[in-house]
Amino acid sequence: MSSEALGIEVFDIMGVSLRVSLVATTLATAVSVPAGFLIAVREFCGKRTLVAVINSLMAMPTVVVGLLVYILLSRSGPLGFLGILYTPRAIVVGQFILALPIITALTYAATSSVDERVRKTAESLGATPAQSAWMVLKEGRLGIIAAVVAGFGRVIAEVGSAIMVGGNIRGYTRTMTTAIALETAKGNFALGITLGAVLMAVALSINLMVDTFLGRRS
Amino acid sequence: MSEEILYRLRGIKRVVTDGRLVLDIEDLEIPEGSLTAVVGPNGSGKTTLLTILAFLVRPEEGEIVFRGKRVEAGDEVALRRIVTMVHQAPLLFHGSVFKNVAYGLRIRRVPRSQWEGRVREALALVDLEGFERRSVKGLSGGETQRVALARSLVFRPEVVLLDEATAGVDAARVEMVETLIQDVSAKLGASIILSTHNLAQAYRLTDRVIHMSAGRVVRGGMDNLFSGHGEHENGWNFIRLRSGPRIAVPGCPPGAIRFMIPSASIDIAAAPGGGEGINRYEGTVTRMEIRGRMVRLRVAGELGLRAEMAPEEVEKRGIRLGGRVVAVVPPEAVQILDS
Repeated sequence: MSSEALGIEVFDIMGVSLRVSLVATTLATAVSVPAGFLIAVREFCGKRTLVAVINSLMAMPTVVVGLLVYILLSRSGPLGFLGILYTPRAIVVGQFILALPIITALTYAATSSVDERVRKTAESLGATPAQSAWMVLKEGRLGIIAAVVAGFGRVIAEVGSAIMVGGNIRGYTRTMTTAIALETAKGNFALGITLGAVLMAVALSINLMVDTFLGRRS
Repeated sequence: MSEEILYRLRGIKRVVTDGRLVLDIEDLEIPEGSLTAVVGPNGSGKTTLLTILAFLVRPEEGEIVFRGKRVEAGDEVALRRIVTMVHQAPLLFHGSVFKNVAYGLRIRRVPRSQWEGRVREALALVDLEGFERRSVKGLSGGETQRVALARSLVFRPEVVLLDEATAGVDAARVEMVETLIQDVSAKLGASIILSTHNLAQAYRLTDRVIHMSAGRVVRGGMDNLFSGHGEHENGWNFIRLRSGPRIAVPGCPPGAIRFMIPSASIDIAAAPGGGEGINRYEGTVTRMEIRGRMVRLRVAGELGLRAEMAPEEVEKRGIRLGGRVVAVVPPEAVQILDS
């Protein structure tokens, strides 16, 4: 393969990786941030158990998620009628499940650590429940952004689920991590290392961007 | 003319999570437009009372009537738009002083074009002109307290509740905050209820003082506040009032003195006759009203007094509206506030 073709392929793989991971992280953020926030601010029976379960799910092996999603999406599975197995959508589903507990748990931790007086102060100044909740989220935003970044880091670096439900199809569902696994298995260490370096560079760039943004805000 | 009642609390009970009863108010009224102080030691329920009056906490039992209307669940959000509370050790949100002070305007959807002028005006009130762009991170405790005060005044509330408003303020600024409190009451027409440990401050600033102890109101704002001059004569200590009469006290420093006579300590009986004592004043009952379990009396005479008695005592002693009475003030009941 010429270096130009190689470059194009690496670029394509990077595009698939970023697309699926960003979509999965966005969807997980939309669910997990409100969930983590509500768990933190509401008192209910079984709260401690729920938090313990969510914390445990953060360590869920990616292959277990891959297996679960595979069972769900396979032709004979309950969601088989969707016909999305071995498509980027299937990878999004897997990564969404992986990101959920991380963003929820870290949002819960970030919101819990916001001074209780923030809500009381906002209410004392006439805020509605929604306005005071928004103020709590704003005061805990650094921790919440860190939660989203951690979720993104988890999904862009995972391989087990992506390979099981995506199928590692060249030009379609091949992500950087599945490509690294494949090239290493084929003995193409140079390409594997190149892809690994690109993956690290992407992760570092995103973290630096967030860090710069947070630095400006604070 | 009867005064408008701002708050009327009946049978209020507040229980905290460990089951402790932290507030137990049988009956309390706070008039509109007044400057009221809530005094009492730590744990007496001052802050709890203020949070209930600020509609931040709902008591487990009892009834709150605000401006004649019973407060129902769900009314609190609307009421918090006109009633505000400045907490002890207030918290400022991250960001600039401007963002903090403008918060009340933002959530009330006041047009953005008005923010700058209103924020500047509020900061000028608390002597913090030019602080708009400052970050809250570098502020001292006193500055934080004053920014919090400005943040609560910027939207021109009708009721302001101040929890230990001068607690973090340095001595040099206390007078400024006290003047500000009186200005807010006078200029904005806001009713102010403040909690304080400082009895002298309470009497210096306010029209009424509510004394609390162990979650209960022990005296409800009917005390008598006077100022006069300390005198010594034949081994006795007196305070002479500007209006003429004098009161014997166990001891007092010379010079100008402010002092208080608790309404419940005054012994009143119908004249002629009445009680005996060195501080004996005649007058006419100009007002009688039943408040909770007590009858409140106003006696006009050489020493105008407000007193509180049980209804059966009022009847037994033949006290009636418009009747002549003798009021006896025990010297040991007089409390010197400052000199």
